Amino acid sequence: MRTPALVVVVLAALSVALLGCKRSSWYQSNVELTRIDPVRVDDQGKPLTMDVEFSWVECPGLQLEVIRGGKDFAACLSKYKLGDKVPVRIEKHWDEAGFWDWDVHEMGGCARPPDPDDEASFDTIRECHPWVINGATVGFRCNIIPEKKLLAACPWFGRY
Amino acid sequence: MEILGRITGWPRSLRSRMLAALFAAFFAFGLFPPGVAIAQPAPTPSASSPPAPSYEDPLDYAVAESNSGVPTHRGRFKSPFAHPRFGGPAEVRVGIVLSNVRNYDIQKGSFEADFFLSLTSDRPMPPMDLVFPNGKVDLSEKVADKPTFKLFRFIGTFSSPLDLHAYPFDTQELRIEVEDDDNGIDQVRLVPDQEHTNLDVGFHVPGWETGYLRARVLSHYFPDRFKHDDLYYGRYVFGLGLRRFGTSAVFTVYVPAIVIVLISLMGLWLPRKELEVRANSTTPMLAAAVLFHFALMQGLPATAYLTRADKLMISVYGILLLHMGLTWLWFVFDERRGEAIYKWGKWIGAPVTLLGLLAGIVL
Repeated sequence: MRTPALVVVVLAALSVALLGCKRSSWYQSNVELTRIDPVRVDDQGKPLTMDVEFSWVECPGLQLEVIRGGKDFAACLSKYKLGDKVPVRIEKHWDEAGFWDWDVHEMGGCARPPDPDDEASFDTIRECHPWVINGATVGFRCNIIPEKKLLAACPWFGRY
Repeated sequence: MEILGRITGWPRSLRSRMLAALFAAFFAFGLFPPGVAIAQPAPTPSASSPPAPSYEDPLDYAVAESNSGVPTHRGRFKSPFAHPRFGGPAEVRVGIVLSNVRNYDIQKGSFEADFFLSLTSDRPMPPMDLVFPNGKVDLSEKVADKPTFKLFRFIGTFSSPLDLHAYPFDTQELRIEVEDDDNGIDQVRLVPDQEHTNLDVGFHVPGWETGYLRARVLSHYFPDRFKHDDLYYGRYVFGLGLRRFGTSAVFTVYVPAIVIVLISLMGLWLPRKELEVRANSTTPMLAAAVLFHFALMQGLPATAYLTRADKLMISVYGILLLHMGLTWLWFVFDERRGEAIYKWGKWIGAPVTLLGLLAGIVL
């Protein structure tokens, strides 16, 4: 009796651990709006979809992201202008493709439910350094896999 | 003019006006035959715009040397292809947006790339002939071609050197090299444009993780092809770093090797009376290891060095030979020592196995 009970306990513990590993986590940060573009508008000229480009100002380096939102998001976000710093709410979640990903769910108090079929939103998260050879700068190198310093400040960028 | 006067009988002033009108009409409708050059007034340089560069062929005004026969120029570069009259190099910022990478072949290091290349300069660029030293272009589309801005779209096949030292945890760099075949650094100074070097939205190479991108400019020098071949040429080198997925590497290389070793290790716990079973747990594993190693290497080109996978397999071979040796000891020593060989075989063989495996993984 003792052995089956032990097996059950071990399996339960492993399941909890595995489920716990893939659990989503939530973060808050502030971003600076760098571009706001209505992509599609209705007959009255009101935006149906809107692209918002922003810079993760609290993260080291120049980290940019573009998100696309629907009409409610577009209408709500019209109160902001370029250069404004707004709070965002981020969900870091496990992607079935085998890595961690993040989504912005709220920006400046405006809800932005992510659409799983949205292929227009993208990010350029990278850390760039000058490429120096023989003491002379000959170019640059941008690491796309986040470095420790970036992950310490903005942990949602970690993919693995 | 006088002949026209004799034929038509028109007065001089009318003849002048008619000829002027005729020239104006020809000029307006582009009716001059090819090769007829019309002298146009040069644009007056303003204070804000730099002087227009000279587009003449530098070979035409190079001065032939009596002793070598190679025409030369005076100035920093004596090469006949140098262009001292161009008026200093145009600083050309090179940007790239990589849309797609397909058919990456790790055996050859070749891949197909689809990308946009932008050239932006502070002053008019000379006519350029872009070549790709490490590949060939299958499609070349000129999207914009203005004196200070050019945008091209290219699809081509390129190849890059491989670095398999860390295989299966290797990172490969896929390079696209661009060179202006016509102009040296006295006319064009290439500068990598970090802001406009990007990967397209949704960029992904199947089986690989995008690790980094980098760009540099290499001013290179040809070994002398003729006397005074001293002109440097700029080459733009874009590199995309692709890293093999770690999880995939562990499950395809390390797990099979560890399983082979563990099966063989279990044989050490079998006593002499189970000699046949013990021998069967080791020797077939050696064959399995050789076949597994062979299958791994089939997917890679030959290298002059050992990859991490090779080092792992060497440790696996060593461990399997140790296990076989511990079994053969029974045939070497007297039967009375059989029990001691069995006992010491376990206590020495197991730690050495684990240490050997660890060394194979870490080194």
